[in-house]
Amino acid sequence: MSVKDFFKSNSFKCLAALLCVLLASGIFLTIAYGFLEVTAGERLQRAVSYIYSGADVSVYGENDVLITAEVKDPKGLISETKKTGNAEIDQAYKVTFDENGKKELDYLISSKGFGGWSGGTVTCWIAVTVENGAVTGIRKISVSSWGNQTLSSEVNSSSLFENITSKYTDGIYYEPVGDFLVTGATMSATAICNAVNGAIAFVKTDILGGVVSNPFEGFVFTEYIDIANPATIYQVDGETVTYNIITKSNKQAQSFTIEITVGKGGVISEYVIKKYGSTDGRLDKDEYNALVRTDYEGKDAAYFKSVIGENGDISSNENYEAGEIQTGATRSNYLCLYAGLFATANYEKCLGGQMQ
Amino acid sequence: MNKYKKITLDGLIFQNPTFMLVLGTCPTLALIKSATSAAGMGLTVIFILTLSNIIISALRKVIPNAVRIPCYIVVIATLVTFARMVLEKFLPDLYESLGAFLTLIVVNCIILGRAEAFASKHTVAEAAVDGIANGLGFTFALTLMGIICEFLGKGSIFGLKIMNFKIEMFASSAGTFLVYGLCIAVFVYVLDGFERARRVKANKLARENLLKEGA
Repeated sequence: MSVKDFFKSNSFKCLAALLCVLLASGIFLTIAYGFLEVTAGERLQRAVSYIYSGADVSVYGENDVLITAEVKDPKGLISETKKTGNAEIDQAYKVTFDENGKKELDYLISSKGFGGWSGGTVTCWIAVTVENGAVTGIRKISVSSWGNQTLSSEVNSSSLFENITSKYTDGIYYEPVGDFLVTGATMSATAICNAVNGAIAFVKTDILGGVVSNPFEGFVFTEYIDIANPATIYQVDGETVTYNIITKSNKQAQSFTIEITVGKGGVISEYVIKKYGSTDGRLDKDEYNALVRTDYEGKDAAYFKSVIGENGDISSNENYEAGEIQTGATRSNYLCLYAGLFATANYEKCLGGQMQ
Repeated sequence: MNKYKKITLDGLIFQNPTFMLVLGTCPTLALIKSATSAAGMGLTVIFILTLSNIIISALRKVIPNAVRIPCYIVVIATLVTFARMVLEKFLPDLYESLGAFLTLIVVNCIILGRAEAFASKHTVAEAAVDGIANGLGFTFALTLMGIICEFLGKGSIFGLKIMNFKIEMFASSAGTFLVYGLCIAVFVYVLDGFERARRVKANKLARENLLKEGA
């Protein structure tokens, strides 16, 4: 085909028509964006007018933001865990206003929470109230961007935001379980909780200058344990150590929240799954809890080590097959075993120092 | 019958995209939990459907047949992006409530369906009337179901509290599915009733005419 034939051909006409439509669309949208762009300043103004609804507020750092930083991980454990984190802070403002004759101080934080539906994020403006150099609560939350969450209306029509603002206590870690689960959009609620947790941690540490320490320094078997998560904690009472463990996900198996009590000799006296991460669906949480009680209570680190084995492949391990838990959800079982191993193997370490 | 009247009645009733053709089911089921979201989605679809029909009809003799679908998609995607910008700028609450379903209008089969089945074969004026009529039919269906679901599921209409009584199932996906199914059944039943009555009337007239001719 000669060049002349090409320009006369139907292929060229198709190409030209498609390119013309694309070009026209591109030019139109570029011009429209120039007029319709929602600037960062407008977003801030919307958040301020929603959160403070008409109050005469002073926002410091409107043109030159007070703080710009990333909270990759509220505990600052990035180097140890390689965790990319659950929240990212991109803007922070100091807000003052008078309420009932009292001078109030808030930090208005733009926080992007990870862990939403389909790996998405939700970005929120979170007004963190501060008094005498300490965080005292969450005034209000305004969602700035839902990312591509499809069930935002479920969250909006639920009482998630009221629950977060009304149930703040020092040290709380929000996660969509219990009262917070009633949204009907658990993944989006998770992203929002992560954004709020990130904002609180950011104000406490980066703005108010709190001390960030790693309470799991020197602990072993942490590969599948989310030690960067502020909800992963332990408490020592005499010779008893009670852990609240958040596991990481393990391919199809989602994160578990497990409460494990370890007594004298590093033996588990109570093992309760509070948040069930199995996506297998053959057993529900209560049925699974009954099985883990039978299998794990009364067991020590040596047992868990023998079941998990050297290479971590439990499916072909005869010690694993000897147990009751043969659900078919091997990855979930592995996470539960690993949590048991973490709790028992670090029992002595916990007795050596109370968590701050 | 005047062709514009026929196009309008088809879009609104006889070929109603939601109740008769069961198109655009994804945003329908997702958004009818709230009357405001449903009406907002409907109005956005009217805007996009009308403009896309007009543009596609105007370009129907210019766009080669082989690339018509990609061209339609580009036009529709442009209009959806523009609608998103307008809503985000001027109606942020509605923009938030529509969520990802606003973006998904690009692949809404009502819009692509009308572009392919009607706008590409008719004049600009006819395409515009078809777009408005189908958009109104879609909006009517969504708003009606939104009102039912919100009233039963939350005891409110357009966010205004009417009563304290509520059946929470109707605020869930299962409830919207049930309401959608029942609305289709009632709509089809009523239309069938009208059609039967029209046939009976026509037969009666025909019989009377025959009797008159016989006499």
